[in-house]
Amino acid sequence: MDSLGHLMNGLALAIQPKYLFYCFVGCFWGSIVGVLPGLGPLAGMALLLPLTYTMDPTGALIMLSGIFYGAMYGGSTTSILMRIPGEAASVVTCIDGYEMARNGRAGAALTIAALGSFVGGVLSVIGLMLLAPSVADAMLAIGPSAEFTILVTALIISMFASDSSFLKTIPIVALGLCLAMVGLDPLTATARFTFGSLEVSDGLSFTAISIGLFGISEILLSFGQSITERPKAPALRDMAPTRQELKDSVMPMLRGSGIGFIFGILPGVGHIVSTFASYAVEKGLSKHPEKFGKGAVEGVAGPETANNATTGAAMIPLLVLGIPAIPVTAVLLSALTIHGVQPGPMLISQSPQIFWGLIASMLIGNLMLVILNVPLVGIFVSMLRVPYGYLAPMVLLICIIGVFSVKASSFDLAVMLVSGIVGYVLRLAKFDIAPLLLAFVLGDRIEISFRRALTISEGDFMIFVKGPAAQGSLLILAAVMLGVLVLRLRKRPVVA
Amino acid sequence: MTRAFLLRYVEALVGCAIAAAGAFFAILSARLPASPDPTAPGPAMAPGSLGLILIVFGGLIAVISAKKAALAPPMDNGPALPLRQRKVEIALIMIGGCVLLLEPLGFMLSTILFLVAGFVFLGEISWRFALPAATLAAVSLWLFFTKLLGVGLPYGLIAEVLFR
Repeated sequence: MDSLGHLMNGLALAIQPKYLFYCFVGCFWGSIVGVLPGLGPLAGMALLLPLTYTMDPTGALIMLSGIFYGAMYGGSTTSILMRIPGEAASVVTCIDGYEMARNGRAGAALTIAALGSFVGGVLSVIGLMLLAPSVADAMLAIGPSAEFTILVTALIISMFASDSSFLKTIPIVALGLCLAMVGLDPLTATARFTFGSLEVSDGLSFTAISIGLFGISEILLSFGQSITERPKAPALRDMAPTRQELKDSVMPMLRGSGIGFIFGILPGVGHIVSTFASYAVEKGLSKHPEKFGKGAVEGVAGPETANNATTGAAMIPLLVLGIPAIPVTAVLLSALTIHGVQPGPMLISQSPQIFWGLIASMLIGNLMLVILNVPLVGIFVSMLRVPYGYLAPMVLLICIIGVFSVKASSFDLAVMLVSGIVGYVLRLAKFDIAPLLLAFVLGDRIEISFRRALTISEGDFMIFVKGPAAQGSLLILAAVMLGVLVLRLRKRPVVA
Repeated sequence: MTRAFLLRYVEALVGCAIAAAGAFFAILSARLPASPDPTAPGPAMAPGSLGLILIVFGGLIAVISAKKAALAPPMDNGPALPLRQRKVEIALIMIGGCVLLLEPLGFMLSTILFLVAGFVFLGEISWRFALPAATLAAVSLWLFFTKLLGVGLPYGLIAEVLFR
């Protein structure tokens, strides 16, 4: 069956009432966590992850993906109205979006951001649809040595893309890998670091660690910040952009889609860097670069499109290689493995309903978000008026219920609390904790493929550089390392 | 240790903690059994090597950051924060309390206690408002999670003894 036929089947699945409902819940919750400063897509997904355990894998993936791209939409609202990025990828939108709001064009900026997000989201899903099956076919032939090289390459690229210096990122990744090795050794069933506890034998809970590291630490850090500005939602009649604003946004949206898609595939780089790259490109190509920073519509359209274009692209390494390129897709990976679905090259052929159902739901979800975000902006803005002191206990409680409901284990709650404290202290000390979660998720597979490959080669380490897949990933790694090293030597000290 | 000292040396202290974690993994890995196949790595190889990396890099971070912090201008301790403004500490105590009490007291009672404490200490509102709000929220969450989503939440030892 060709891609179009598969897509039609996916659409037939995605328009079923229960999947439409999951998609709506995901998009709506994603918009809320995107709007609320301090709660990003990762915390939003981690909080709802336990609720997906009673769903089928397709429904779980549809809802969690909806949160991911919904947060990308929602993040622009506070950037434009208050100059506070709802999530990290909306930082760039603050520059010209807020200036447009000050010039009385807040409604137009919000609509352009929503339209850009829609265009970026839809084009990236089309890219995912076209690219993923071919990559999956190519990946079917790889063995454990190439798998190890590809996984380590992904991890190293995420280290290079990190905000922190290498000195800080290397031990963070090592710590994540060590934590992944707690429990029974997958090859010999030897208990490692369990101290005889049966609860630890299964390994540390991903849900507890991800909610602790990102959810709890985020809330603790938010106590130190205060929002003084009272946002005002624009009236519905002011939401329409002018013909000139729309015309000026078309090319930035198309370029932003391409930039976002390319950056979205690379591990760790993702949505944040793509927005900066898109802004730089638009400013460089503009006939009036002096307008940037003073309310240029291109400065909103490009980055917001790029931001959402990464969502579809980030699904390629996840669904085709089983590699979560960013922490958000690590939560998706966790959801799939909990349901007994192993993402990888076989996913498209063995579980086409999951892959094509997700693609179709992403197309529907992006449309839902435009409908949700433009007229309902007032509702989202009103949430910002609720004092954080009222919201924080409720969010903390949902974190606790979320972790407890997985295995009804107080031990997991203790792991969440410790992870929250560790995440809080690490972020106070300016460590980037995203690579820790990626290493924790990939640790198991990295170790298994490493040991299996060495068993096959009878201890010969050269096996890791043999074969086109391993050599290709090493070439990509070398190119990324060179590029980032040049940039870092120009700009950064050893310790950030 | 003062607050200013902790903030000034936070990176160095984190470096020490990383090195200690590395020592933990390296020492315990040394006690794991060797691989039955001498050409293949055993269960101790990966965590042992990673433990050593943690020791080296944790130590480096501690030394470099401590030197940097020692050269930085001294930080002011500032006025002592009243209990109500120590929200991070309060939130951690609340979560710790909930972890300990959730199973013995059950979801309903521990949630009401948690939310009342949260609304009073983090939201700074009167307990007269906090108590009904917390009760309403606890009942709503119980119905939402157990009835709508089918998630099992603990009844608690008191309810188990009284009603089962």
